[in-house]
Amino acid sequence: MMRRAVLIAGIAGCFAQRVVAQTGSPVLAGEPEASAQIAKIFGATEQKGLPTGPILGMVGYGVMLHSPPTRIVAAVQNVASRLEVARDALAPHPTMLDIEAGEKALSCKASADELRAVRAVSANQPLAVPLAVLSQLIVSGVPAKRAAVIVIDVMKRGASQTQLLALGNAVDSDVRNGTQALSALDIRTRGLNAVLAPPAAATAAQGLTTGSVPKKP
Amino acid sequence: MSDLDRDPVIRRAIDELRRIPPVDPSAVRRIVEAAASARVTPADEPTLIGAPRPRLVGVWSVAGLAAAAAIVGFVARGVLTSRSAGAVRTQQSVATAVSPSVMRTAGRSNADVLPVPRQFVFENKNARRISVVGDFNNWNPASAPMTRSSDGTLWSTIVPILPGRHVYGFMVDDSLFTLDPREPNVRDPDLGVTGSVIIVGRP
Repeated sequence: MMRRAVLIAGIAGCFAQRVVAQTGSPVLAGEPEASAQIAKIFGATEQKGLPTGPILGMVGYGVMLHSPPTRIVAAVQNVASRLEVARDALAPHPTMLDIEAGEKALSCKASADELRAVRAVSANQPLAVPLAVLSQLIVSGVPAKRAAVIVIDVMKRGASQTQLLALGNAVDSDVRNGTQALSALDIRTRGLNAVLAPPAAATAAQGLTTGSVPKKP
Repeated sequence: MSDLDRDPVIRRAIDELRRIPPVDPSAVRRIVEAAASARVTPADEPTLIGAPRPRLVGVWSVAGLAAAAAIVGFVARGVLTSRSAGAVRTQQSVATAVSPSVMRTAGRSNADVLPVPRQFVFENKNARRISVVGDFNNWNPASAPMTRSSDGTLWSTIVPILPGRHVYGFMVDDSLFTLDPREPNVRDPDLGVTGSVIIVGRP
């Protein structure tokens, strides 16, 4: 009895992630129409060279929580659209992780402009963590533009991933304890700025690392 | 013999682990020759002030050769296994063991695409089974089962996760999706459901 229950639960949990070997597409058991639509979106996403993991993830999430198939299809379509926007905004050479992080940031109401601004800080720097912190700040209640300005500023000043994460977590914690988002961001940014290089020094250091001569004031 | 020992799957696992790896004799010979040529005699050794320390040369040489032979054996076994199974299969099994996302980024040299181990802890006295489900394991309950602590109250597991922002939760007894009370929650804009959120970065 127990084994049967485990087997059924296992199948129910796994079928969302099941990828049909021949087609490479995710399917919803007993929902041929929704499955076909998802397979179409999945195939198109794959063809564009975009990461398909977020699509599989969304199908798995929806099935696990017993969401209606139509809602899952709509959610998958939204993810696919955001992946494309993220890829374009993070051009020229975004990694799969960058695109996935960009998609998540867009789902948190960041705009393509903010993604482009973060990308502009460095063409090669991995953006998964900066974009994750951007998303976190926006979810905490910081306006997207302001959140992007802060993230970009501390990135330019050489903040490490740990420092970025600490900033996002501190603001989130303050907000959950009743502080207004912008006040929390202001206070926590001041604390971080105290240990980071001043903007001018950071710029000079960046110039030195790229081989150019810093301009005299 | 305990119940665990009688379980055929566990027996197979034990037998597999007990199997002695084959040793490549030519590799052992090469190591022995290399060790012999690089051998340091007392005359070669730099002398310090005072009397030289007594050395257990014989014992250490034998121990060193045994260790070298064991290493060669393990390496040779690994090579043979991967050859027989095929490189693709090996790569897939490693990636699957780590995280589905890793498969999508396999082959990159950038350290940022390497997963970071993350511990999940959940308190529940009555559950029989709990697992971590999230976008990092495609919400698969079989992917990250948790282990109960000795006092029976805390469940925990460590999951390697790629850097970034992740939504997750706990699946209790294969049926009840539960949020993490220790982390913030967020509502998914597409599905309208709530999940817990973590942000993972390199330490």
